[in-house]
Amino acid sequence: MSVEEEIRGFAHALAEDLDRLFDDLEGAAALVRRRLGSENANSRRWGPFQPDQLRMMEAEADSLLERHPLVYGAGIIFDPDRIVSPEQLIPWRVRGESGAPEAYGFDFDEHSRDYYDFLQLPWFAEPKATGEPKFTTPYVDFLGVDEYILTAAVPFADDYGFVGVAGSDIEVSTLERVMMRAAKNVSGRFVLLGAEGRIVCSTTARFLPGELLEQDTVSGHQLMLPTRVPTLSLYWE
Amino acid sequence: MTVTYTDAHQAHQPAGSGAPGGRSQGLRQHIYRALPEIDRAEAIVTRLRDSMSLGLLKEGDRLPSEVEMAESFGVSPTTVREALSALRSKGLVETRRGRSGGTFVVSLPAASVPLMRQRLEGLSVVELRDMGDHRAAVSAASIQLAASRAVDSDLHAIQRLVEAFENAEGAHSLARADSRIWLEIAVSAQSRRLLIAQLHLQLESSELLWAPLGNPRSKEAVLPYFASMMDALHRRDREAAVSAATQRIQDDTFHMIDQKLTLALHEGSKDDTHVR
Repeated sequence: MSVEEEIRGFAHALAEDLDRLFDDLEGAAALVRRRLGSENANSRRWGPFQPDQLRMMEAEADSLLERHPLVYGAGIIFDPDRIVSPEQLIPWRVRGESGAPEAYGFDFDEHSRDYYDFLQLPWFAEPKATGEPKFTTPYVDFLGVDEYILTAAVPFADDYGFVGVAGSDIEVSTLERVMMRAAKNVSGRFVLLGAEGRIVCSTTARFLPGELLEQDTVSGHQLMLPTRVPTLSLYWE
Repeated sequence: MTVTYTDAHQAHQPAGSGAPGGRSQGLRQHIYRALPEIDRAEAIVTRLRDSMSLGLLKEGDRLPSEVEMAESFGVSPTTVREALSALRSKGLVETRRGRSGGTFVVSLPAASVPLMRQRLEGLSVVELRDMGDHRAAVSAASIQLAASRAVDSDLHAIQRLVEAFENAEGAHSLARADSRIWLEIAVSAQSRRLLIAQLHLQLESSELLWAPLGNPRSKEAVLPYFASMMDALHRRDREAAVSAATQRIQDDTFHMIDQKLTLALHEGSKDDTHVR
């Protein structure tokens, strides 16, 4: 097999994984839309959610974590204008120390200095504006889980419009481990790129994660992962 | 998902409407998280062992008396005795009786090759890059200040440590000699905080950098950087000093990531074809 075929093989395997992740996020978004939407059909603001409704969202997030080893955290993020109870804004689950999912605690103290200004962030603002799913470039989650992550998000809406997104976080370190395992079977070196040319991980120390691949100064091959939603691309020389 | 400080937004939030919360719970927990349950004897063991790892305490050095240490650590003599007994059982110090008696450093904690390999496998490329960025930031700031603050005796001290590095042989000696130079630069910067930051970084990185894995870091490759750094310090050329230090650390980072990738890509089973 040529290096290019090996790289394409890896691209397809990773693309299938990411497509499955988006399938499941769409499933979770549709379920929340169907179950909670019908019960809240008569008002613009949803909620407050009942314990069984919260448990349903929790179970969806847990099954997503179980089905996708790449994923570190998952859940629903509501538009603050669309729900009644701000403490129910983000039912979120993460992998605990033992690997089992656990709730991620939030601080809803309105006097807190730490304001969760996610309204303008790409994983929320873009699906809200376009109605399309979004896969972000890596970023440092600096007051949150303190990790370097990528986020996949799928919006859902009702008759009044956008309600929120079903989202999941992937740690760059986890993605890197997956890539390294697959890269053992690829004889050439390659780079995984996020949007705007940001290097996510690479199998050569010449290209460091976090840096931008200067597209005009390099002359290699580039391949978009064949995912339904634009996600990552591969670069090799 | 990022949480940001945005006081402006908070000001817009009508009182009582319930500002959207954030993951600030995470930060809170981080600030007020329980302190490690290390008792004081354990803390003394760690402090002395780390000092040995970095070559601040050398083989043959005599430790202060139990009473002196109890006083300077602010603990009871019993606690010091407990710590010394733990160090003795690890074979790091020995206590001799008599007129020329006392407690002496007899061997240095050696990081084993399998342990280093394991550590390197456990760290991701992103983490290694980040460690390098942190080292570069702290070291650049230190050497920039040292270039304007170091007096002749400081420069002599650094020069002597560079010579010691030139004469060092073997991974552990090189790691310790290298660390000592960076620590002395922070000392010359007259900054206790930068020194503490550098101390932590060296404890984290130096054994790993010099670990005899695959194609180890070469002393000869590093020496020209020290020569440029010394030259810049003597000329009080801050920019040149920063540039030499930064390039040196970039080289280190490249080396460590290269080692990591070699381990990750060429070792272990090749039959694991599944993406996960």
